Amino acid sequence: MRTIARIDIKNDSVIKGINLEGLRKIGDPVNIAKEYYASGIDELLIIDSVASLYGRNNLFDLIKKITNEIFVPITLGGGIRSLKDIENALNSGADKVAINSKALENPSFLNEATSNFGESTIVVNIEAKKITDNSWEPYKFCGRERTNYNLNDWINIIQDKGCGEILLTSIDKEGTETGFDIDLIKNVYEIIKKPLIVSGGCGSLDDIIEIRKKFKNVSVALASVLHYKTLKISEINVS
Amino acid sequence: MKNITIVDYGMGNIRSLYNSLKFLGYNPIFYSENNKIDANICILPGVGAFNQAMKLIKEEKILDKLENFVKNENNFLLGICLGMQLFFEESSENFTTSGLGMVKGKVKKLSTNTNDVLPNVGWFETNIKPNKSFNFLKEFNKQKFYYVHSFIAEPVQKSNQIGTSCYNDKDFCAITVKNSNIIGTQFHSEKSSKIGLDFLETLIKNTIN
Repeated sequence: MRTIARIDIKNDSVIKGINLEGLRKIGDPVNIAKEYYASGIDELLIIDSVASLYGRNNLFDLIKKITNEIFVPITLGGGIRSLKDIENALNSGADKVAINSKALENPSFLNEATSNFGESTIVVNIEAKKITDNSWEPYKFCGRERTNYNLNDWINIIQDKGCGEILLTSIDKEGTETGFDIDLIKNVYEIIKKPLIVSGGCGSLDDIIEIRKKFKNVSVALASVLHYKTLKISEINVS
Repeated sequence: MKNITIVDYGMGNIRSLYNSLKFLGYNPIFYSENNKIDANICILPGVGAFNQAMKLIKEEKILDKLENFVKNENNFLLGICLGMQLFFEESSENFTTSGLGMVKGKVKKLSTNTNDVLPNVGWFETNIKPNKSFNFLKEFNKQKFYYVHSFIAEPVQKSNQIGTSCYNDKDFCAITVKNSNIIGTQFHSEKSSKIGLDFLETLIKNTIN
């Protein structure tokens, strides 16, 4: 299991919301990334939370600064809409890109992306919202827009088109620190054949241990618990 | 400042390798800058698929240069991930493709069981039993390094394999060596935090005078 720090960014600041809304400023991205690296984080996931909405990506310069001194895998997400965007991300020092909205609009983009850059470069980011008791829907634009896809159908499409990993964010749990959405994860875990990273809801060490016990080789992406210092990376690593 | 040539064929995350070498105080130079291996250390990173990589290496006329480079035992070649796999005779990735043929053996899929999760991604313990030429690597035995791969190399001769890691309880080749001047790692030392940088530095320091 990898422990991944998720750093959401808006206008050059690290931000954190609840259910992907009500964003609060946390601090400087470079300093925060360096701090997590020094504490022994396995990977960094850096997401421009408004990029896809405005159709731009301005994180490349920031990624350059971060990757000069940080030597763990770095994934860049938010506003990745073309092969050129992926090339720019990699040239800035990112190792992988996370794609959500563009894949939902044009699933074949995943074919193009994986055949040009290799499967392992492409992470599909799913932002899932609960619709009924046991069905979920993937959302676009950082949880702002519906797609009318059924989550399971969407996962089958992704696996058919190709990707290296799947990042699964629960919109309902995101930022709440009330525990992961176990039903959602279980549902996805049963049909997935790709490495899975789960995000949204972690509030304690027990939440992480629960994932580790229930699911083999599922990784966690953490934000609030690290930003608000509820948990130390060192205590997760030894737990 | 010691020069190191990074063979940059195709598109990929070689910027992180460049950054790690810079951070360690070396002077990395991309092959494409003057189409030469202009150093006595050369790194072959992994970018894309085996067949594409070999195609580009041939097209860019890097093949002969690599072969000549390793003939001089004062030169040192490091392959990373797919870069290591390219050392072998052939790979079945996408379709059967010949490799550089420096090490006897083939590259094949990590698992053919469709229920297994691939690529294999994460930090995995690596067992290292170095030979005489690479004895200085023994301090890294049992350390965790970052891996991301769906294919593995299988050296015919045991003497070409000095490191292993494990996927679904089965060992696979993590480090391959040939003579005293060719080494390949399946893991990404440049992405394996402080221990990875340590590994890279130790390797470079000990192989070149």
